[in-house]
Amino acid sequence: MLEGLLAAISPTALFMEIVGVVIGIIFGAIPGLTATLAIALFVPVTFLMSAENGMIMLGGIYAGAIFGGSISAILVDVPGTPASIVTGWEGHAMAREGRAPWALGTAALASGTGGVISALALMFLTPPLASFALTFGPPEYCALLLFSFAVVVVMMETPLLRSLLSAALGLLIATIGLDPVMGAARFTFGEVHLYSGFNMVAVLIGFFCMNQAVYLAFESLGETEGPAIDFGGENSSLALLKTLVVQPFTYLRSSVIGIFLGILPAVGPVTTPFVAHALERRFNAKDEKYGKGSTAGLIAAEASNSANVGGSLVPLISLGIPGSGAAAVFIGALTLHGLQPGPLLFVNQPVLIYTFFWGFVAINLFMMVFGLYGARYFAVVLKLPQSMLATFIAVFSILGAFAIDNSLFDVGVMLGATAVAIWFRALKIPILPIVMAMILGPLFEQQAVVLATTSESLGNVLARPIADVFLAITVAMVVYAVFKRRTGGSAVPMG
Amino acid sequence: MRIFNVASFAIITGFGLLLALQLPGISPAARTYPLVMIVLVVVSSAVVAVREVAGWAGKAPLDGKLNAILTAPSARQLRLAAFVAVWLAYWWVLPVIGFMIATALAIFASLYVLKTRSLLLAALVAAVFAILFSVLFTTVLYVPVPLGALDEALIEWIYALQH
Repeated sequence: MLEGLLAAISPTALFMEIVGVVIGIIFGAIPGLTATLAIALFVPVTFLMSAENGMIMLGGIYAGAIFGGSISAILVDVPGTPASIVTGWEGHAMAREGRAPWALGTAALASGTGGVISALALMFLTPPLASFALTFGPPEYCALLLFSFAVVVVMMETPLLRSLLSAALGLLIATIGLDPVMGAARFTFGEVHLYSGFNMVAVLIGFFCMNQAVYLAFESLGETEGPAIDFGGENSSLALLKTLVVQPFTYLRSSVIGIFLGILPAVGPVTTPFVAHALERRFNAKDEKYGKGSTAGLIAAEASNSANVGGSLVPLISLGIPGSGAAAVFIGALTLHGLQPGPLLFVNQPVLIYTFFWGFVAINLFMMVFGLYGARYFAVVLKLPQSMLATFIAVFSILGAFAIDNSLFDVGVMLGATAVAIWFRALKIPILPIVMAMILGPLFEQQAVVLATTSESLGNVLARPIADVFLAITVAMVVYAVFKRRTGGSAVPMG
Repeated sequence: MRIFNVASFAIITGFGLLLALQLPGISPAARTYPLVMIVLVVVSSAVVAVREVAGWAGKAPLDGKLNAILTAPSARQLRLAAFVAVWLAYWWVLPVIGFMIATALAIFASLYVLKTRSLLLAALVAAVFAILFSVLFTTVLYVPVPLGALDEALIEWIYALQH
């Protein structure tokens, strides 16, 4: 742990932490650019770095982008990322009253505090979870992965059958190439490039970056003048820090909710602020401004969505299961560096993991400082023309896909994934299940094949209590989701 | 919209069946798992297609962004199509005319079709970034990009500077 701390405060690591946070805040502040897009775009850049510095930079981008979204939400009521919608309710109301610096400062402080709490949770929750996972055999792994797929499928707002189809497609596409057990070629159609399957990073860039370039290009064609930004007066850091003393439980409650929801697969930073904000309302019943300019409401929204980032990294690092789209891209980055996320990462690369954990603490502290003193400068990016953004996201997407393996085939894969993302959007087929299934598919197949060949009967599987618990929860969750949707509990009817 | 949905889910079903046709050529030990996935994809997409045909799926409104694109004035749609065409063409011409020229042309064309206010600025941005990316790939990232005459000249010049 100490070795990790020293590595995390080395000059190179500190530089990467700052660079990651700055890039993240810039991307997050620009409406239309998400944390997932920013991470996917910068994955190829991490080739240049050691694995720990690459992870630290991507962690900085992730955390910075979630906070960056609040800048535009507060100043112009346009959430930079979907995670900042609730921040816009509270923060922009403050900005309209001439309290923009207070809102920006509160957002920075709450984001930083939530992030630091989640970083500590990451540091102390992940190792026991990973050691517990080391006891897992194929039955437990299969049951855990089935549970993860089921959570993603039922959590999506899209019709259940379409979410299931998305996961099944991901699992099927993951079988393209050499099979993980026998090494036999499958569905390659004689194409040499397909022997190693589709390049996951190229697919992720297509799913999360290039299609955003298309939407931004469309928006740029109807672009009007840039938004007018009014910063109001100065903020007082001391008065802001006082909220930590006056409202410590608001910070704590919201952070815990963020971490918990982050650990659950598919509950990303978009949903989290709504839950935390709704819960915090019960503790602030007398606050008349709640929902339209309340400091407590803003703290709840920002602390929870920042804490969600650290929470989503817990299952990713300890079990190899991504909790969100951004975390899924993180897995792509780790595999590019030859690392397999999961419990063995702690055994094989303990220094790397603790360097990242401490780096994540530092990232959140830097984010707090930059947010407190530099938010107004980052807001300048709101003036960038969207035509420029669309063009450069397109060029970075293509060059990023090319640079992974110096292959124009991967660029084709990325462009194909872009088309699929837009097509599936029209069909209301969600992308997250397909991404998770493509990432976890090979592991699932490997464990399923070993399970099938080593277990003589179903009784052997059912004699494993951990696997039984996961399977029971999975069945209960699916039955509940089907029942709830049939009785009108879902916004979208079943497909 | 319903025709589009039905056709789309039929295509996904067809994709599953196309992969199923490849199964006999795969060694038996490696085909069981993909067979299960194919069945899952074919059945679920076929069921959704049938529900669409029967009208049981309900009428969900089209996604907001896609709806905005489909209902936009044709001039705006054409420009968006041109933007997409520019980047598809970039992928196609990159190995033919080399990295620097292709990148400069693509950035300029993209900014042009997106109605950037100043064409001079667009040309300047395109030229500067094409050179910048080229130098970055050659000297920092060491990514071998498709070379044209200008790229070769740049590499020779950088080599001369280094020695």
